[in-house]
Amino acid sequence: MSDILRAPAKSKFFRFFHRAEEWVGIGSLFLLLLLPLADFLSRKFLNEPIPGSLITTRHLMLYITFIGGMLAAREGQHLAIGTFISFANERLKKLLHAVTSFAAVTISTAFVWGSLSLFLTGFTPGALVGFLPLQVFTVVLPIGMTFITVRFITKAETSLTGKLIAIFGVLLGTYLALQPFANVLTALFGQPDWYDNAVAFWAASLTPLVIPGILLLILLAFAGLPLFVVLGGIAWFLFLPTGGALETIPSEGFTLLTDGSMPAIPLFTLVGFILAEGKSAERLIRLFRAWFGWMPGGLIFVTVAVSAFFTTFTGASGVTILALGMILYLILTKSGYSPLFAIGLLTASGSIGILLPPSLPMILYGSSSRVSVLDMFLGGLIPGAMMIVAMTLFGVFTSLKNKVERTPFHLKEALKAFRDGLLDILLPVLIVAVYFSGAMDLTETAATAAAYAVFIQVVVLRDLKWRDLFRAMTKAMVIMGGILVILAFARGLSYYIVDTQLPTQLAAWVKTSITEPWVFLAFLNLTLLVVGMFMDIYSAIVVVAPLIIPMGAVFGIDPIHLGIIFLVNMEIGFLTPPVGLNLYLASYCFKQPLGKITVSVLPFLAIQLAILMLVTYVPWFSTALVQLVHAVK
Amino acid sequence: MSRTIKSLLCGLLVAALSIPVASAAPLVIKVGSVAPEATPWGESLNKLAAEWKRVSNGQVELKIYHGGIAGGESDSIRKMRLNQLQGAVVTSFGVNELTKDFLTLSIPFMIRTDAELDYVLSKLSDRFKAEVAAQKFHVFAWSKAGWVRFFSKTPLKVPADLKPLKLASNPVDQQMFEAWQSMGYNQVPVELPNTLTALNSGRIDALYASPIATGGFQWFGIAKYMASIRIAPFLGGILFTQATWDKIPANLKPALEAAAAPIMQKLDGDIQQMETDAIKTMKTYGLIETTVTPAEELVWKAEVDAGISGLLGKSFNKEVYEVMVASLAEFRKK
Repeated sequence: MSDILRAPAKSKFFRFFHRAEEWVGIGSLFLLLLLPLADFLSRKFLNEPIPGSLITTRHLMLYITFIGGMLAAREGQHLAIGTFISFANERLKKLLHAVTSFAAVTISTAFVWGSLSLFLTGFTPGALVGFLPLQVFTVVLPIGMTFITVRFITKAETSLTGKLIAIFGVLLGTYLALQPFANVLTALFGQPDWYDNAVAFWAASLTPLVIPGILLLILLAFAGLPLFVVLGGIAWFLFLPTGGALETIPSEGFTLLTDGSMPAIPLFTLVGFILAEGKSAERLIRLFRAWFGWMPGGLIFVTVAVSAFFTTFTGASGVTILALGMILYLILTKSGYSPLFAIGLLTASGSIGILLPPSLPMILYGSSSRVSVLDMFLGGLIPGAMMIVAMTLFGVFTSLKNKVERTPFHLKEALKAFRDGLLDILLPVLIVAVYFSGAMDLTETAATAAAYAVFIQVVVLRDLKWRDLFRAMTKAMVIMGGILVILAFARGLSYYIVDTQLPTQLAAWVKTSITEPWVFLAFLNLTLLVVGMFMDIYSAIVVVAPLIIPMGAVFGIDPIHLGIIFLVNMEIGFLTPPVGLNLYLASYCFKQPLGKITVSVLPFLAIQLAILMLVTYVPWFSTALVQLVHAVK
Repeated sequence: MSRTIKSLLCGLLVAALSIPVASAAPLVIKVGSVAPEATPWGESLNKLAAEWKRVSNGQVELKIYHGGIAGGESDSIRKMRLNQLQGAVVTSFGVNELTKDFLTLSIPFMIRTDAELDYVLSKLSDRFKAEVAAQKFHVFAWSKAGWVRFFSKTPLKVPADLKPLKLASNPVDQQMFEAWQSMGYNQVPVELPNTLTALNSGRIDALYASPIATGGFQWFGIAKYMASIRIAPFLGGILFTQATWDKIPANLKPALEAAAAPIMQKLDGDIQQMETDAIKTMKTYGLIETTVTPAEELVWKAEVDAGISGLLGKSFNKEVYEVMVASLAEFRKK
């Protein structure tokens, strides 16, 4: 993980500037950690919350995302697929680099104007976040996009032609963003006379470019164009002919990032980085091997169970991979499992807890579909357990087939490993205790976990010096920036689907065209798998679930059964490109290209699809416990 | 650049600038609504869309995005500023983003009946409309969205019953937070989707919400006591962007408004019915209503009066408050 940050810049000015942006990032991350804790303590002991702390915490996410995005651009760490590039010869590589730089500069320039216009026109004047004006937070969108663009230019092909091509991207990007650009002028100087005519001409001139533009972006994705540019660019082109406001795309990002469930993501990531940079991983590996290494597939069970357990309370946002991925990866590979298998297992396990309580998607599904959340949890128990057992059995089978070495159990070593690793293993215990007892919500739990990790690693065990901690925080910022910008832009893309009212039309079509329940279920699965490829789970619950519930009623599908089918599909969606969050997170965490990650999860994807079939066509798995409990009552 | 290309570009530009902008295409108004389609709100909007299409001969077309799919309230208002949406159905919270005075109507225990609300609103409506217009939005209609009540794990009759409890507060809503704080209640900020878990785990013991929401989110399974006292009315409104409203031909507007009137009137009744039904259903599933006597209601009211005075001119508009108090006194004398 040490190669995330490059050597410091040569020029004094740049060194100073780089330090400054790192400190803004580290400062935001510290505030994100401290504010929820301070609020919690103040409520506990002074009986009074700190006014505005919750809302400020949410808006800090904008800094985490866009400062992180700037850092990721600086370090060349924005996530990309880049399959072609490894086959290309030097000349072709140069050419591809020039073309992708051009595309990256073009699209990010368009987003500079889009986010600047959003900043100037989208928000209620005088709005406050806590005690600060909202603009203090939203201004980081255009600033972040500007620096990302500048960095795409400076990283373009070094020859003069290369630079010129990249700069030409600024002009084209501005043209693509003519309407937001004109809105910026309007906000600053009043509406120019040419506004209506120019915008009409502009819209007409771009319509023929929509389909070629999208195809080109998809092609360039394979040549190494950063994924957030691909997703954002596709959203941009799709929005153009709708006559909608292009500012909607960054605006959707804003909505997603400032949602109350988001701050836990960077906080748990930070925990993962602190643990990985210190010696926790080694101690935990020793501990797990000593206790479970003697069983065939014992470590697999530990991995799957720990991941499932972690996901249940991180809300299946894929955080599990970031928080535990590296440690578990080391445990598995050092015990003799192949890296590809380990990566596949960890990536696939990253969302496996969705069906088990107290998973946030279950709660959201229950409350937005008016199904009892408790019944949903009961319904999810058997399918959730089936997932865990199936994945474990596959692991046991693999370990027997590959004759993975087992370590015999020695009580003395087991006890010593336990004593040495006690402070580390207390972390998950602490998380469970404060979260499940209801003492803290998810953000507070994540902040407590981060504070605990800092405390044991820096103060008690001194695995890390404060300087190492700041470095770990900077690295976490780079990674989080990369992931959060993808999430933000993907959300813009899913709003296009909302705008077209396509789901509503599809629902109407199903009602008139399908008569057999089993055909409906097959169609449902296919549709939901596609939905899962493009939409994150939370958007899908809001947008798609309300449409399938009345349909399910028409075909006499039990609402709990329907809900479980929906969520299993969404769980699988975490593993399918292009918006399969787990794939991205794994690619970052394990430093492997996305293609390789995708290959590694295939066997696990097959297992999950098999479970999906079982759950879909055997309603008993979802309904048995619900009926049992209601009968007992 | 060669001369031919230059002249070609110039020609294109001239052609573009002469394209007439107005055309016979219908005016499509995208409207976001937080209410699900299968509610009186959703049904009324669909009916409104059909009526307007008929009355305007297809010139005005409402495209409704039900169930919050186009975003929550502040999200929808942002999309209206950006012109991604041209209309939205919002509640008091949404209107309050456009005029900070609006939540003054929701100060606890002031307005007690629908008739009182109608009367107070008739005195203040123009003022609110003007303030919203200053933000370039047009209030097409107000509507009632029900009454907010207490739901708690233990029975509530008087303020002293609530004092030891942890009351859920919406982290986005600073004004209401301050109102309850001024009366000395112990509030815990909870995000809406986390409310059920917070009740389950004991982070909160009580909440204030409309019975419709409490039934829908199943909060009453744990907070099973509902106090009979109405805390405050909850309003709704249909907003359009001023620009879009101005685009509707003036000769069409009276017909559109006339078509909307019966729909909105029926909606008011349907909402009241829905609230009554929600309470009835919850009662069959174990909700217990505790009766707050008129004498006890006065105790709640006295508390608000003592607390709120410090917030007037700060969190709540003093002038609006005074108009509200005066018109309530006037109405109750009648």
